[in-house]
Formats: sequence, structure tokens, C-alpha cells
Amino acid sequence: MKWGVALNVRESMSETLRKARTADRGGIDEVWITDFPASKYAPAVAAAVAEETKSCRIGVGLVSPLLYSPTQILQFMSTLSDTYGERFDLLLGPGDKHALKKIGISHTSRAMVHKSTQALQEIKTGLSETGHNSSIFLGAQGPRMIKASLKAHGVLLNYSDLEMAKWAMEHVKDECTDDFQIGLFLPTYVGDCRDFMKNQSISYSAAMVAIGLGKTASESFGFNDQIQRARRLIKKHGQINTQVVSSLGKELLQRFAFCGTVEQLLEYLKELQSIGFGLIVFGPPQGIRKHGVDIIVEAKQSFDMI
Amino acid sequence: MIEMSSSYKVSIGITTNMAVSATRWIAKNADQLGARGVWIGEDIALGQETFVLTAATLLQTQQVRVGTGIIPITVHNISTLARVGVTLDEIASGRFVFGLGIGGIQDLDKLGINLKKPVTELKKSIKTLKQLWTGETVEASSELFSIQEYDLGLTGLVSIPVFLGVRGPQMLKLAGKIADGAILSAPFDYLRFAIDTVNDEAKQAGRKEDDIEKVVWVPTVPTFKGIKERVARRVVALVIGDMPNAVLDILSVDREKVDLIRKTVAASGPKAGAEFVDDELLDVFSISGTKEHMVDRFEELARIGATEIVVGPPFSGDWREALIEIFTEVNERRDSK
Repeated sequence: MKWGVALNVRESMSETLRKARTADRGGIDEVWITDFPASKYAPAVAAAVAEETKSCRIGVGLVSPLLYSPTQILQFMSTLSDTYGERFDLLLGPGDKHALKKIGISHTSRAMVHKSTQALQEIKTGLSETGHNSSIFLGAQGPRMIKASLKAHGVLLNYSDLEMAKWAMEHVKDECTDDFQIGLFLPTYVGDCRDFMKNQSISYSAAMVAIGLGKTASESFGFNDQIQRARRLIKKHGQINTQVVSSLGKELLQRFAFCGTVEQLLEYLKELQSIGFGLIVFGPPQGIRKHGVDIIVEAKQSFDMI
Repeated sequence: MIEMSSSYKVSIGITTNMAVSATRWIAKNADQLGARGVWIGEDIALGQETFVLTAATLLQTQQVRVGTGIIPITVHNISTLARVGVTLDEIASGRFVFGLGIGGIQDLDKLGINLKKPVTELKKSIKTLKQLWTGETVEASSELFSIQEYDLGLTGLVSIPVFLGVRGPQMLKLAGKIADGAILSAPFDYLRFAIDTVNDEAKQAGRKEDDIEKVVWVPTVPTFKGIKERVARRVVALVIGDMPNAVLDILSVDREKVDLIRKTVAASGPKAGAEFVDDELLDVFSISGTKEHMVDRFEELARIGATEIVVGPPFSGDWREALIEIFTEVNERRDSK
């Protein structure tokens, strides 16, 4: 199983580079550089990370085709590979609707999916024509995006729950090719998680992912009402707060994030692997924490020894 | 020999539509050549991605200043420009300059972008970027953008020098009022007017002339190192195609010929327009000839108030050797003073 860790959320550039070096030396397969709403522009940060690391692959994304044209995305992926070698992958997806609205970008869910899949096709063709070997992943939660990801090199799902992961797997397993990569990109906190709801860094990250879940998926799992209620609260307060988190509740939030000890993580990964998942990307808050990447490196060393 | 002005600096200009091997060579050699900076022009949607190229150039250099020259605000979301500024500034540790502008006439026409009030638009964009860089939560809208309760989540103030790529009189005045520098690209006769306008406006705004750097970036054609003339003529055709009437009205050039070039460039591109570029126009719109003659022309520019002169593009023939010889000429004259 390949391991990745997401950086460039709100840490300084020097912190991002320090953590990228730690991940690279510690044998982490991929460092993912998040983009908007992060305050730093991912492709430029990816260039700096490439200068500082040797063997890890560098993922750029999630990148929204609603914010950048397919031409610009294709250009930055090509430029990175031409300058620093064939080490770069891309995660495409519509992005956080609420954050995009703040910068004047507003689309229906259907249009967001359509634009993402159109961009995927254009970028995939462009990269292939110019001889680049970047893998393009689609970030997905609902069945439409999961199906659309079959045209990509892989899919990264935004939930941790094994029931949901299996449900997603059902949508692709009969149609995907052998080299199609199925992975998870999920909010992660490896450590003491006895009080999940009071741990704002993980509960808020989980809430942000949960409220992005589309109607079909949320109805399938019976938590559409909770998500709708949380969305109304966000609209009222303008942001995620304790009220939003409480309204979603611990049980639901834990389906969108991993929060637990190293031992629990290793058990969880073994189960994921057994149902066909080949990649995990540890999303925020793990990469934001001062020693978050060191913890992941140690966990990977233990996992490799099993 | 014309008397040397030691006050000006010389930089290298590159564009996104150059090969990685060429831009890398320039970045790797810029410090050693004694360049003040490397300026990067965005050929919209062509070649390397402009912000990655800027980041890579910063990462491959140690001393030179690296600036965008320019990024058209018309083709990027304002939040992206704000985030790019923060990112490149952090990579640069004080060596990054954000050159912004509206974009070339030809490019904007092709993209169907037609701003009603370009000067107001540029002013609003700069104001919004500066607010975001001070950590404010901003609500603002314009012809190009709309942001609501948006902030960059910064923990401290970010101070990024903003240079404006400007030509028309109102744009020049805007640069004099609000910019840290003006990036100017026009024939000599117009540059005199442009620099005076920027300086006058700066004074009226209670600023000093020296508060605003005047960077002159015109095509340089070192014919002493095998550059193909057709390359030079193509670049000049492109420059003429993008030249606003306000600039052409001031020049004593064959206007009929210039209009023919503009029409041809608009309809069939710079290669077709190059056919009508004669030696006179080549001389008016570019700095060409031997290294001695070119450096003489740099010094003329310095005397009319340019603080920095940008060499290149076009890069053709033995351009690496040409660059080395031009910088050697500049440095030798400076040392002999």
C-alpha cells in the first residue's frame, strides 16, 4: 500500500519543506500539496518541494478546474515535470463549494461534476501527448464522480468508513482496469482520540468533508437530514463552528476521518488493503501538526515490518 | 563613446514560451553575469506555466531579483494572484517583485476580454491584493472579480513590491500614484514622455521620483551573434501589434505602414506582420546592433530616467554568448568609470 501525506494547508513554507524532507527520507511514497483554499499556490510550492526532496512523488491538489482553466493545469503539470522530472501527480475535483463561493465561483453540483470530468479528459490527453507519466486522480464522494473517475488513473475518496469505502468500491470494481488506483484522502489525526468532539483540529476537518457529501451518497447511508441541518447552520454562521460539529455528531463525523493510535491505524490499513485499496493520503490536520509527519513515518516503518 | 551612466541596472527578460533548457541556463547564470534581475513575461496559455517558472527561477538563483513582467490580471482569479504573491514572496525571501498589468491588446481580443474601464480595473485589483496581503477580510467586486468575506488566513503582514506594466497616459499616471515601479515597453520617443508622466504624477501624489523604479523592456536584437533578422522583425511586428494609438500618435513613424502591420498581425499573426517591418521600424521599436551600440542605447535610456534595462528576448543565434558579451561590456564600462 502506498502512503501519502498532505502538506501546505496553513503552515509556513519552511515548515512545509521541513516536513516534505522528513517524509521523503522516511520512505513516504507521496507528498501531496493542497491548493485553494490554502493560502499558498500549490504548483509553486510543489516546485520548492521538488528542489528539497529526492525520491517521493509529489501530488498537486486537490486542484479545482472551476478556479483554473484546463490549459493552466496542464501547463503547470508539464512545467513541473519538464523542470524537475517525472515525479508529479494531480488530484482534480470541484473543491469546497462554500470556499469557492467566497471568490466568486458558483456552480450547481451537476455543473461542477461536468466541468471536472471535461477538464480531466483534456488534461489527461495533453499530458499523455507531451510524454508525461503523471497520474491523474479524481477526488470523489458520490456515485457520479466515482463513475467519472474511471476515465482517470485513479480515484481518491474522502471518507474513512469501511462500509462507505466498500460501497464506493462496488461502483468501480467491475469496470476499472488493473492499473486503476483506488485510494482514500481523509482527515487524519494519529494520536489520542478519546475525546474526538473536543479535538477541534480533527472534528472540524471531518465536518468540512462531511458537509460536501452529495444527496445520493448521504441518502444511501441515511444521514441526509443531519448534513442538510449542518449546511443550514454554516449558511447562518458563515463558517464551521462547534454548533455545526455538534449537529453532525460524533458517529457521523468518524465516518469521514481517521482518529486513533498507531496500532489502530495499522489495523485499519490492513482492512483497507484487504478490500482492494492501494493508496492512502493522510489529510489535515496530520500534516499541520509539528510532529505529524514524523508520526506517519514511524507508523509506515511498523506497517512495512508486518 | 557616450558618457556612461552608472545609475542604471541591467536585467534579463524571459518569457513563458521559451524552452526549459533556455530559462534554466539564464537562471543558473544570472547571478554570475551580474544581472540585477530576471523578468518573466507571460505569453498567455503558451509554454511554461508562469508561476512555476517564476518559482523555479527564484529557486535556481541566489541573489538576483525575480519579477513577473507582467502577469495579466485579466486571466487569473484575484484570489489566485493574492495566493501566488504570498507563495513567491516566501520562496524569494525579499527577491520577488510582482509585475502586473492588463495584458496585450492582441491577447485580450483573442480571449474576448474587453474591459470597459481598464485603469479602474487595475487600480481596484491592486487595492484588493494589498488589502489581502495585510491580512484583511475583503469584500470587493469589479468587472473582473467578486469576492465576499475572503481572507488569506495570514498571521502577519506580507509586503510585496508591485510594479505595473503600463503604456497609455492614464495607466502611466496610475503607476506614478500607486506602484513601486513601472515596466515600460515603447519606442524611445514615447519612453521620454512615459517616464516624465510617471515622475510628474508621483510628485503630485507626494512621492519622490526615486520611489518608483522605471524598468524599460524593449526587444533587444544583438545582431553581432548571428541572430536571425526575421526573428527580430517578428518580435517587432508583435510589439507594434500591441501598441496603443496613444503611443503611436506621439511617434514620428510611417503611420500607414504601422497600421498595415497591426492589421496583418491581428489577422494572421506576427510572422505575417514581420514582412512589413523595415530597418527603420526595427530601430525605432528595438535595441539592435553591436554590443557597443546596444550599451550606448542603454545609456541613452538611463539618461532619460530608466533605472533598469531588460535584455531579451528574442533569444536566437548564439544568444548565450551575446548575453555574456553584453554584460561584460556593461560591467567594463562601469569599472572604467
